[in-house]
Amino acid sequence: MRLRMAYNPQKKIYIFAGAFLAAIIVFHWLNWLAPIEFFTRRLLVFPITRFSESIRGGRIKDGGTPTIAPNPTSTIHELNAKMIMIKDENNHLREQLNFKKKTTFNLVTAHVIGRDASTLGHIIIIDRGGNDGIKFKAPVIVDNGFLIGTVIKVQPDIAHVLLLSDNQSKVAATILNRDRSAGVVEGGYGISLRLNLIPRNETVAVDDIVVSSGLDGFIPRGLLIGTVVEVENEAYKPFQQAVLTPETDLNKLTIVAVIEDK
Amino acid sequence: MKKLLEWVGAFFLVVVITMIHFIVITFTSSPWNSIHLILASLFCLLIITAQKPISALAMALIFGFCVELFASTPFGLVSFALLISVIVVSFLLNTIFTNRSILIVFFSGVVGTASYYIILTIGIMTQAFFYKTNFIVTTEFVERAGISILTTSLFFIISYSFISRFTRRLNPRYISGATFTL
Repeated sequence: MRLRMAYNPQKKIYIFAGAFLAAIIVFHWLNWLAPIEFFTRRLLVFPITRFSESIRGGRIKDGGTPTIAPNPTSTIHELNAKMIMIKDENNHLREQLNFKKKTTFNLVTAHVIGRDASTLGHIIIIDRGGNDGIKFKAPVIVDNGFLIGTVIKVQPDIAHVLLLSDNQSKVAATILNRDRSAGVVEGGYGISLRLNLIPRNETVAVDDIVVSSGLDGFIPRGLLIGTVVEVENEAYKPFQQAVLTPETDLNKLTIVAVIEDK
Repeated sequence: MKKLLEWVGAFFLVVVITMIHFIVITFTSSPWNSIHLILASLFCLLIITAQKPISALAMALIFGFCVELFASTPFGLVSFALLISVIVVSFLLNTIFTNRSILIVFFSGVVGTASYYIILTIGIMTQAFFYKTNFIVTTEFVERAGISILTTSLFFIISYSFISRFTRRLNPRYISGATFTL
């Protein structure tokens, strides 16, 4: 008597689902899904952008003209809140303009529209992408040239920026002290950063300023990163460490600028 | 016509849940921004559709596609991780466990969310290996994943409690596996 194995219809479903997923991945790499991806992204980004605008109280159009249309039924408090938001945005853009005048960088201004969907790291999404000249590993700054991260993924209309506070972020930096000590700025320590691999024989003091050293090859030299708040120099360790405070709050970013590669 | 309405309803549901997920992770503070609403929604759908995981698998693929558009991970990894986590939870609920008590639901949520993050991590490490980039699993990374697993599972329990009270009073023909056949 032959034994017959019971047919499991769920296996067929799993195989079909796996094959469908493989097909989607192949079509994506062949760029056949580009129109659907673009449409879906627009469909999802538009309400999120509107939601953030309603919180911020308005936005700056590409031409730099604020687009606030006060609702006649808004209370004075709402209008005051919107005015504060607009002033804040104006300050950010004015500082970026000052930075642009002092340097020869080409800047692409972008709004922060969200955070990375995988919720793993400190990664933000900006509303500029490959179509606007954003390149992979481009440095991202705020205000008067404060470095906040680098671009790690570029899509046609959006880009992902890895913030300095992320545990995967590593930036070559220099301390503006007498020895011009070099080190690596790493994230993953909450709101503060750490400058590691500082030679033990060099003097690092609290309130020393840390800037990018340019040794990465893709981040220009001289972008402000943070200020030293604590120095750790243990005798049993080969290098000393410094704890830094970033120049800006990396959790409250609204307008950033990407430095274009010339 | 009924099928078309089901498809439209499913698409609308996917869009709404995805938007709420993005709004939660962008505008809320920790630990609320660790809740993975999409995972919790898929697990709730698995419990509602009981023995037929096909609806949850189809929704996992659609959710995965929407999330891929805004994820920094390689394309396909999030969808794959969602698919596997749905299969794991379906296996637990249909093969291992026989009841749907709060403890079992919580355990299923923990296992499902943990498998999602494990697969995501393995995928990112594989990409780092082949593309010669750096990826280190640090203490902060494990902490963030742990917080997300806990918050997502708790949200799953709360959603399940709410849904089960509602579905008990609903006509069974609306909540059987036939409802979400795609």
